[in-house]
Amino acid sequence: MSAYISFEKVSKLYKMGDVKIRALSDASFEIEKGEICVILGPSGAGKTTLLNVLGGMDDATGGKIVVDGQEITSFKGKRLTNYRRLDVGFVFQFYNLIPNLTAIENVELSASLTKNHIPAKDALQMVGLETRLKNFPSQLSGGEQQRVAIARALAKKPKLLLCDEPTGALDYNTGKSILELLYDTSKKNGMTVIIITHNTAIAEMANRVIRIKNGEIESVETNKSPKSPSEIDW
Amino acid sequence: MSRMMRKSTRREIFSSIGRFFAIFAIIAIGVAFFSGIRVTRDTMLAAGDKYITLGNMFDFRVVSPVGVNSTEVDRFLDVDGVLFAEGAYVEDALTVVGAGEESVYRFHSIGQNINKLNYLYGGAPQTSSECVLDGRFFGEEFLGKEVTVTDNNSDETKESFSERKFTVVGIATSPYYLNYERGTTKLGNGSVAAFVYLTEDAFISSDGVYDEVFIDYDISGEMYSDEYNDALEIASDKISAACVGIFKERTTDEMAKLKVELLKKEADLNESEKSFLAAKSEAEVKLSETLAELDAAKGEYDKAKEALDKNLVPLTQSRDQLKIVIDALEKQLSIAPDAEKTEINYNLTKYRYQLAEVEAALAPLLAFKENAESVLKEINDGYSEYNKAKDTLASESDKTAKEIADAREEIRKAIEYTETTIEWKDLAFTRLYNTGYVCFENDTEIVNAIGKIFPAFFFAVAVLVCMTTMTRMVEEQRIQIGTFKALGLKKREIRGKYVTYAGIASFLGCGAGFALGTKFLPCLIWNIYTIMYDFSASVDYVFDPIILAISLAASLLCSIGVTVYCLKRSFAASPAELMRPTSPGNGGRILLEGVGFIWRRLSFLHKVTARNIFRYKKRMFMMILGIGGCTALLLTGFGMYDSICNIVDYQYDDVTVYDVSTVLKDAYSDDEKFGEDFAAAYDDISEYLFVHQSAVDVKLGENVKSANMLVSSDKDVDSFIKLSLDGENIAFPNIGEAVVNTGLAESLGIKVGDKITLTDSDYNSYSFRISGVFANYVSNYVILSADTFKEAGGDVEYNSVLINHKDGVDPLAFGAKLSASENALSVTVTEQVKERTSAMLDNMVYLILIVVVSAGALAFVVLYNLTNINITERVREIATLRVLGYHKNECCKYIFRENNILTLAGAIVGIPLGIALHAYCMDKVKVDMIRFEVQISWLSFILAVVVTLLFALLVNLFMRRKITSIEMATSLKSVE
Repeated sequence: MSAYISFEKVSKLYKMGDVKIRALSDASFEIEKGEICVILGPSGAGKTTLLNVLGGMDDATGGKIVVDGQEITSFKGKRLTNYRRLDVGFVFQFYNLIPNLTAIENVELSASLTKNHIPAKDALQMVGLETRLKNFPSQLSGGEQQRVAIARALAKKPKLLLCDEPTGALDYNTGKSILELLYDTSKKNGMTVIIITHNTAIAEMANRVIRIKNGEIESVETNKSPKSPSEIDW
Repeated sequence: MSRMMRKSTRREIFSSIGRFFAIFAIIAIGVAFFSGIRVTRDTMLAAGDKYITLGNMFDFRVVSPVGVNSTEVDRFLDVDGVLFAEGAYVEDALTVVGAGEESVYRFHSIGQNINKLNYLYGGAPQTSSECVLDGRFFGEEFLGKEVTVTDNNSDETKESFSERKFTVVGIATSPYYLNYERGTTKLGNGSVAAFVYLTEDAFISSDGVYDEVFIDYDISGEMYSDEYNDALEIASDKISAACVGIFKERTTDEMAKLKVELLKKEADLNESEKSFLAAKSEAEVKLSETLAELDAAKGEYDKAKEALDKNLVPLTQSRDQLKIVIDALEKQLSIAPDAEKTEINYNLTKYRYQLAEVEAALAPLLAFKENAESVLKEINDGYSEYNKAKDTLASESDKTAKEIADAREEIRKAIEYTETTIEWKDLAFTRLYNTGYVCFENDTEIVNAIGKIFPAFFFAVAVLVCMTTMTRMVEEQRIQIGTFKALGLKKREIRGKYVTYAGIASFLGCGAGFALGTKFLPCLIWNIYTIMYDFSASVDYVFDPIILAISLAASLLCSIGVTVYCLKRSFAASPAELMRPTSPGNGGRILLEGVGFIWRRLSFLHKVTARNIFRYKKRMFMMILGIGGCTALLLTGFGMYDSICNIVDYQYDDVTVYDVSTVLKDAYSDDEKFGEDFAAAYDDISEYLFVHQSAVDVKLGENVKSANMLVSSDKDVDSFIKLSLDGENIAFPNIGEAVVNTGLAESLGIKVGDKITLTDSDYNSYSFRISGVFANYVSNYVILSADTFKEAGGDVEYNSVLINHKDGVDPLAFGAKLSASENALSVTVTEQVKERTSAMLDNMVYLILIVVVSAGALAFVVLYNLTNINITERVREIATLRVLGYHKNECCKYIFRENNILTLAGAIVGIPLGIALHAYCMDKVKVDMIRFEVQISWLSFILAVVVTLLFALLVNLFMRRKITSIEMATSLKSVE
């Protein structure tokens, strides 16, 4: 059975004048639908690059990426944007909410992009923020902001949920609850969630762990029985 | 600065070249305008000063009631400070140049050292039959043509010249006539068409005196400068004092002599009057004698006629009867016996005697009857001759009586004149009485005034732009700055980088702006003014170090000062603070959200736009101000065009609507004579109006202004001059009243109901009450009816005719037909005047072009800069949108929607600003003889806004690239 997501010898080369930087070289792996996949690696290993390329935020310089039967490396311009628009949900380390919009408006911003979406209010309910709909990001705590970001990503009903260090700016407990949210979302809705982190302990919640170093895939491990984050201590 | 800092600075410049350029550009524009306009005034003054210095324009012009003789001229040379003193002749005459029309020209004698001519073509006259023509009105093609003093001049005028024809050997300009005005005169239509210069020998002075003296005083100082004016005052006192000594004696003598002559003339006149009266009564006596004779003759005739009527028939009958009887008796006598012969003879004798008596009585009757007709005719002829003679005597004696009365009046006036005390200090006129000199000062002042407001405006914008740019830069680099601080670099060293950045940008901008501004702006503005001024069009580059210093100081203050201020805030924070990413700005509700029914209707993205506009308050204000400024400038520019360029149409289509104005040689108001004189054009004439025109000085209180007085023969002047104000008709003034135009009313403060005094060139004064004020744009007018003028004591002489031709007639051909008449002194075709004035005003378009271009530049730089900064500030936001899946187009719309709304808001704000600025500029650009209608057309309003929006659109196009090139990955890099 062909995988939901597959990377085949994907490379990403940055050229700045005479300087060439290999962010990714010949990365190949597969991810199944509904999995929680954690990508581990030290700083500068190429984790974010991988995510960016997968999410259609950046072009791969070589190789092939297939998501749900579509070769996204062949997408350009509008088609790529539409891929991002409809199929991908992103969660950043620093939330990147629009500061001028309330929580519900931030989610609406994303929801209004597609006909097939979860109403903003419901999305926020899903993340437990039904009482904070009309607050601006500056009026929300870090955790709450991240939850809004997740609601924003989920509202689109994307195929993938890509999270780049989602708990990096949060404290231990808050971070844990965010991860729980992601875990539950995946299990409940069968959503493929990919999380980047440099915290190895989180790997225990994943179905698949990809280790990356210096732009190369070191290892791909599967975990038959992932644990819920509430059961993990780090 | 350390080597690394220098490197960093250098790289900074090239990596953010857009920002660098923004500072450079706005400083350049600001400095260009400031220095350009300031230098323009200096340049104009330098050009003017050079011209009058080269031509050695007079410092004083002295006139005396009895002229100036050579001794007196020399005595001026003895006055302390006088460098040159030259006597000069001046004479106005009706003249024809080449094949042209007769006009009044002013003839001057050429000076050796003062008021030297600037020859454009040809050279100075060598003989008295050569002349130099006015360079403003005549070109090279007039060399060799003839200038003729026509026969229509008075004998006095003709005798003032040694020749009547002069050959043109030179075309020149004169420092005595700096601008286009040539002055007014008593001759012809009242204005001097151009000047002519002749040698001194060409003038004949009956008493060997000059008309005026020109003095060159030792005064240094640029024209209009305080230096010159102060020195002039001192010199004035000296000259005035000298005048007393030089003139008093001879003048008093001459005046006394003149008075004696005049008194003698008066006495002669009285004598003439006496003999006239005597002759008159003699003639009257003769006439009555003749009448008596005629009456007697008539009486006799009547008597004889009566007798004839009464006696002819009976006498004839008697005669016939007697003849029959005599015949019968004679017959009887021949056959009668002797005894009866005696009786018959006795009877015969008796009857023959009776017959003789009857025939004697009949003879005169018959004789009379034969001649009766001719006698009667003779008598009647005699009567009619008598009547004619009587009438002739009456009219002739009336005429003579009037002539005598006029002559007496003239003598009286002249005697009065000789008795007036002469203010000796009033004899010397400085340059301040020379129209061209004063006008030029006014015009440079206009440039100065404009120079005060426009650059201030640009500098304000420059400060704003620098402020936002540098603030943005410092904000962006706060982490870097924090790092530098953490590394231990001193504030001075960190500051150095940014100060150098801003400093270099503004220094270069200042240099470029100064160079371009001081080179091109003076040329552009000067081009407009050469239309009015006669001196050299080429302008020397004036380098004003002070202006450069001010520009530099302002530029550096703008850029560096602002930078230091921005850095202050950064330096206040600790390094750690600086290195932390800033929390994104707080979101907030805007007032509009309170307005439920609008807020609900807005689409989601529109709500976002609305909030975003108010999110960045500084940007919002700056854009509105910057765009508002652009719209204001555009509106001012277009508005000035509306106010100035339509003047010609308004004047000649809406006010002075007559087609042609003709000045008559002999003044009259006889329709028959008119038809005769202008027979050639008569068929094309639709209607005409006789008017009396003359140049007058209008006085109200202390203020005096010159104007044209128009006395109309008819109250209905509507087809020739439309009197209206603000759409309402102004009624023709009634008896005792007059109307004036708005320009005159404004400058003298005349209101309806005021009484003004007019003084004509013969120093006669008349007073009228103002019944109305009418709109007029070119020249000043006082209009009244003939009756009013007569009542005020004026002599109405219809010396002009306003004529309208029929439709379809070519105005120029019509004008030529009118000129063909002997009695036409000059013919002015309105179409031609319209064209000439139009051409002059068209150059104002240059001024407007400058405004429009500067407005565009301003808008562009402000918009570009602000948008640039705005996008840079919101890179993360835009990248996030891209990540969420917004297309490039949608992202652009997201940003530009705000821009467009702010631009529209700015344009709306700019409209009242523009109206105010326009009013200010129009107030400064006043020209004495022309009154501009301060107005802005609807089209201008629309254009100003549309063009502003176009500029905004252009910026959007440029900025699209910037938005679409935002890379998501790099923009959203987390801070690790």
